Amino acid sequence: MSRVAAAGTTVAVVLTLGVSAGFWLFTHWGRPVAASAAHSELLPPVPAHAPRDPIVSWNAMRTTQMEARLAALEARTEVKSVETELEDERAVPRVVPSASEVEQAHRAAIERHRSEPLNRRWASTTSAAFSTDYSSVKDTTFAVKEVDCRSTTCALEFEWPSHEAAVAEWKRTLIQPTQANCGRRIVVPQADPGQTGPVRATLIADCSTWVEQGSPLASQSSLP
Amino acid sequence: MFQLKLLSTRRIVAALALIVTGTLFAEDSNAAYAVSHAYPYCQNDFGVPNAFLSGGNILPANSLIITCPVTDSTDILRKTLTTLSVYYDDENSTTNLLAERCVDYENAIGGSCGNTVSSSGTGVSSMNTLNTPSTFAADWNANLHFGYVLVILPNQTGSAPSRIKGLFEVRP
Repeated sequence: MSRVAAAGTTVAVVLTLGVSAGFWLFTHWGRPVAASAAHSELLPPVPAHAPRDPIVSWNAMRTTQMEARLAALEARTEVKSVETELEDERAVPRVVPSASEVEQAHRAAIERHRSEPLNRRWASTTSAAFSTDYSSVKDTTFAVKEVDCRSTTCALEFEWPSHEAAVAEWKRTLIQPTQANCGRRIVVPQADPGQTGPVRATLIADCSTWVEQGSPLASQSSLP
Repeated sequence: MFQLKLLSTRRIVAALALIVTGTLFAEDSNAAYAVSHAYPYCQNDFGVPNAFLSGGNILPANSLIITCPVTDSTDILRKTLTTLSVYYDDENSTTNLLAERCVDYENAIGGSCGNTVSSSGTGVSSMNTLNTPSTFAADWNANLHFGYVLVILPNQTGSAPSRIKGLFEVRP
């Protein structure tokens, strides 16, 4: 008798779990992980006073969760679906900064550089390395007018004979292999109407990562 | 005795059920989207025409600058990249092969590049381009600019040129 009772209990439990798993598969199959995780936010936490018996606790939890999910689905017009939220996130229009905004941000970066404390030894070594690296870049018309290094950043001012030349060659300043391994950023100012003559643009070198590594200069012979 | 056996049976069944359900919930959380691009994906951006041959720089005296685009789409955002590797064959014993991530600004005239990574010695290997420093990472992750990998191939000194084999990207 006792064996029959135990077997009956086991069958009942397995059937319950099977139905639960089937329901879960039906509702989750093919959905992205993120969506599943987000869906779980719709489910209430397991109540603190839940029974301690694991089977009863599990069934109670699943029942509560299913009821909550059903309610959420019924109120779908009020509760934004996860899919829609993801679509909304992707559908946010790209707000690309204008040329003026980029120039303004670059000017701010130059100002931050100017206000950086001076590490004379580092500044001297790094300035000399940059000056050497940019002293003769093949097939270009620019000249390095100033190299100013502080403690983790440098500002290199380039001058081109014309705005057209600057537009054509600005990328060479980013590409030029350098002994100091720094991130580099440059913005060529927009031309004023009727502007002629030389044009200057400032490259900001962010050497913070390189400084953390001890500022090891690459040998010139190893640079392509 | 019967109560104890029943309790044990229940606990065993409950534990098995939790394991099975946990497996179902785990889903494919480790799934990643990996893309490899062979060298023709890249192009000779600066330098002598026809110097970029089968991914290699055949110039005997000059280096060659190669650029490879990094796609940024609605479903696969550039900022989610977890790996960006350049596979190369450096045949120049003195000069390194360099690679770095860069962006061109969409509206303004300019751009930025991150730290450079370089080959160490001759041979076939791979290197991960870094998403540093933080000021560059901000540009790279902004999804507002056009991203690419820049590779500088050293000149050919022996019978074989230094060459790029391709790019490998992994995104979660």
